[in-house]
Amino acid sequence: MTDNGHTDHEQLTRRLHEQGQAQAPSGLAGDVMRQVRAEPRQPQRSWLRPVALCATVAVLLVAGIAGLTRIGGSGQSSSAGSAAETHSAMGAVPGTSQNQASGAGGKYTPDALGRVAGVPADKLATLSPLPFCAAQAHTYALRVPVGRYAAVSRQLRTWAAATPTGATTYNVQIRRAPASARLALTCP
Amino acid sequence: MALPRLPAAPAATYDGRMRLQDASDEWLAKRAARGDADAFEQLVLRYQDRLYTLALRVTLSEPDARDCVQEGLISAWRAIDRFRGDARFSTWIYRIVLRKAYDVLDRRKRTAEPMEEIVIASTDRPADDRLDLIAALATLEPEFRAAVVACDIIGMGMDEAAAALEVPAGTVKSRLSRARSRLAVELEAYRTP
Repeated sequence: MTDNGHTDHEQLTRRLHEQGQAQAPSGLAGDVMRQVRAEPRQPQRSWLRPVALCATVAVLLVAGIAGLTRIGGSGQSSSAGSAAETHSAMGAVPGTSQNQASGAGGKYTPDALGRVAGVPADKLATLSPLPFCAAQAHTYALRVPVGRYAAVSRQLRTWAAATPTGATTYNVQIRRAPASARLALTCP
Repeated sequence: MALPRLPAAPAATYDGRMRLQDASDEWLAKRAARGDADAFEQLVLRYQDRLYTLALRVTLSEPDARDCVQEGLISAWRAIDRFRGDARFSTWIYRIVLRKAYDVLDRRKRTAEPMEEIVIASTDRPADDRLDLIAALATLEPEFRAAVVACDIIGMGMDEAAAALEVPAGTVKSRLSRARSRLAVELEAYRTP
């Protein structure tokens, strides 16, 4: 740029600065402040944001830990889970889903499918010889071949319901056995 | 050339004895964010002329400029708790008012409001050369006008103008250069009988 051009630009910017400025109308600030004071803002809670952030992080952490625990727990306790199901389904005829759950490992394992309490010993002995079980003397496991669960379970409940007073009784866990197996009482 | 800047806001911090007039913009903005209307009023008083100049020179209309500043300041009051202080308060408030001014121009374009009436509606002091300057400014496109107003009239630095205009500093520089050249030509034409 030439000196002349430079001077022109200097003059122009000076002129713009001196002549380009305007004064706000006299009532502008008053009008603004009237409106501002008419709608007072809630005082900003400066502590709220960090507290909310901490709470969110804590909730996420707890949820994460709980999720991990659940995943780990479910991996370890499949047999415990089925046992719990057994107790809850006390006396009930097992459903297919329980069988599938127990057989999830691929290998066949006898499974507890139901439980009947207070079955008289003499009736039980007609199904199979009573084995001697030192640890849990009042409970036997009854291995029932596939296809006979419903009938056996019904029979056990009928016996249990008609138990004479003073008779020796046992609790019976019904367990799944292959179709070729024989009905057998074992220690639980 | 070192342009004489408009009186800058004091950088002082408030120590309990200092008056609001002496407090920094950012301190006042923090107080305003806690609901202190007096602190906000101080900011309004401090910036109203510069904001009005910005809006007036961009919209070329006094009623529109007044509306832009009023609406801009009310918007700023409502949103001031979102002003985090990582930019200067001045940049933030200029940006708000400038957006309002651009909205006015967009609306005007949509409704095809005649430009001549708006220029004539200006009631600046009737000094001839001043009117020449305003008329020459009005011949520029809004984005070029905004660059001139920000840098040459209000006296923002290049970076602050870039932040307020929401364009890169290089863009502001090129717009400013072209706008000045065109203004020089326009003003020469006014001088020529």
